[in-house]
Amino acid sequence: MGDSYQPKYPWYAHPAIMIYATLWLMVLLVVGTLAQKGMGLYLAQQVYFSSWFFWAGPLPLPGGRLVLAVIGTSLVLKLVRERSWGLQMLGVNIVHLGAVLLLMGGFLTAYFSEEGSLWVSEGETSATVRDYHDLELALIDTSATSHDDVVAYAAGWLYPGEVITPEGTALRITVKAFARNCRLVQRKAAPESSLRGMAERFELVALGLDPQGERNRAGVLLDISGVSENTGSYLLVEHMPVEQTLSVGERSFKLVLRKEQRRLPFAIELLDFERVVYPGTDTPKSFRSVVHVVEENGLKRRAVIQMNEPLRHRGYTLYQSSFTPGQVETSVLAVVQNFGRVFPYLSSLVMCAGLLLHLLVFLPMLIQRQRKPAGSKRVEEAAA
Amino acid sequence: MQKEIHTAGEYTLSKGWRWGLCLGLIWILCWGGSGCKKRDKTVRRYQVPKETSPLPVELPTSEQPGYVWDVPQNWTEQPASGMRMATFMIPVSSGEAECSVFELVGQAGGTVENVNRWRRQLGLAADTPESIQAAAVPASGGLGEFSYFRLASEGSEGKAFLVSLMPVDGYTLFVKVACTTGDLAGLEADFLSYCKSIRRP
Repeated sequence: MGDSYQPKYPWYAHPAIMIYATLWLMVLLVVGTLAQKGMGLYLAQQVYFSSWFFWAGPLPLPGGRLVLAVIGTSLVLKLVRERSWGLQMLGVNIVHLGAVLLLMGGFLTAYFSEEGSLWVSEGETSATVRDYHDLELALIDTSATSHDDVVAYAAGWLYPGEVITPEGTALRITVKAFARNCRLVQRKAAPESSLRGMAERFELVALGLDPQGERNRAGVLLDISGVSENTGSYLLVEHMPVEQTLSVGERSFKLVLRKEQRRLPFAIELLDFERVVYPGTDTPKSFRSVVHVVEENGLKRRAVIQMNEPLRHRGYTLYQSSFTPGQVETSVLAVVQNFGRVFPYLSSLVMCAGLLLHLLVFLPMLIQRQRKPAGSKRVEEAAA
Repeated sequence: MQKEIHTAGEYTLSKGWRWGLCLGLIWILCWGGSGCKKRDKTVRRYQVPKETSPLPVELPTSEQPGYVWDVPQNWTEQPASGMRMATFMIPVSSGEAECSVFELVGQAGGTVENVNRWRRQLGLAADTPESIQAAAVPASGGLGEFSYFRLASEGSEGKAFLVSLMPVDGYTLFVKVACTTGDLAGLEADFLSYCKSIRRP
């Protein structure tokens, strides 16, 4: 009586952290799920789940990343400072270790994974992966006969005021305007003399982002100077009808605004694409791509990529995603490089092991309690 | 009651004030952090083989009101599938030819790249831009000026394509007939008539 309450847990490992963090994650899940209908899945993920915080009006609220960081930190501190590794706490500690592994895998996936799509037609070979979301401004030197030299500027350069000075050229490219989604509108007034290419006939009108991210068509207005025959303002949009070309002396370039492209360390040659439908219907049952995996030294290996049977090669996983129909079909493969892909499996194994161990340690005691007559229990309690 | 006198050195903030200041500091950090988002300004340099041609990007078709057309008498329309706007089967001497209609954003890689891609599908070598431009057959129809190509591999049983490319409001409408080389000439009149009939409702 009168003794002050001694907390059982240190503040960093208090169960309240996990409880309130989990509750907030549930709130985020509901809010993000409702929001994605209006803003689109990718944007909802970025705002609510992949952010450290987001604004609800004037109020900053913790995002998914911050909440998971808090949970992870709490678990790590608890394990590091845990003094009780005896048999009774061992199972619990192993389960917590499994949870830490899961969060570590999430960290690796969030910061180091890449995904995109690879399009290849029957009889053709491709090693180019297009990102689903990120943009780049590519300056492609097409002067050589055997290859193109690509210099790709990531999306961070696509802000008004940014100046790009490509190495080895006298070009100076200044970003005047950028819109993540835009429409081209035909100029009514006579164009200024400084407008070149598509900018002579069209102007850029920024639009709001479409919830279906793939419908967004980015556009950028550039000022190019440094080489007199190219000086002027140029308009580039994604998938523009005619690619913008520049001549600098004897060199010829293409300037392209596109989804970020990456090269795989191997190539995929599509031998055959099969679309199997349910008998008597046009409903697809499965898609199947028979491919050659072509290494840099020219060695080829036959493989089949179909639904639920991806190809795993050199850290990449290729899934059958879609196709473009036609007499000669184009297979669309989803390409994922995820360094954290084994962590969920590892974490599940570790957590199962921890739970099993905990059960085995306490099972004899539970059985013993079951076997004791009811009276003996009251006597024991009275004695205590 | 003795009045409590606090000197400056002894004055401490009440719990409410401490919470308020902490929250205010967090708010300022969040507001500052919002404006200082790290931008990805990496620059990557690499080489790609010259033969690599950009593939068509099939995106959801435009929000435009669609098209209407006059179907030649012996063409049979098939149920819409995947990303095609229409598919027709055409009886020919060697069996059946197929006509597919689809719309892609922009010029979907460019006329030269697309024609060379179709040539490769037929087992033909890539052609120069000048030859491709010369091979384009100009025509005009309900959607304005367009051009089409006759592409055929060797031998009457070899594969062949009749393809038209019609630029429409930032998109390109493709009409592609796949047949054998021997049937190509006989299909051209109906193919051209169909392409010319495509128009906005």
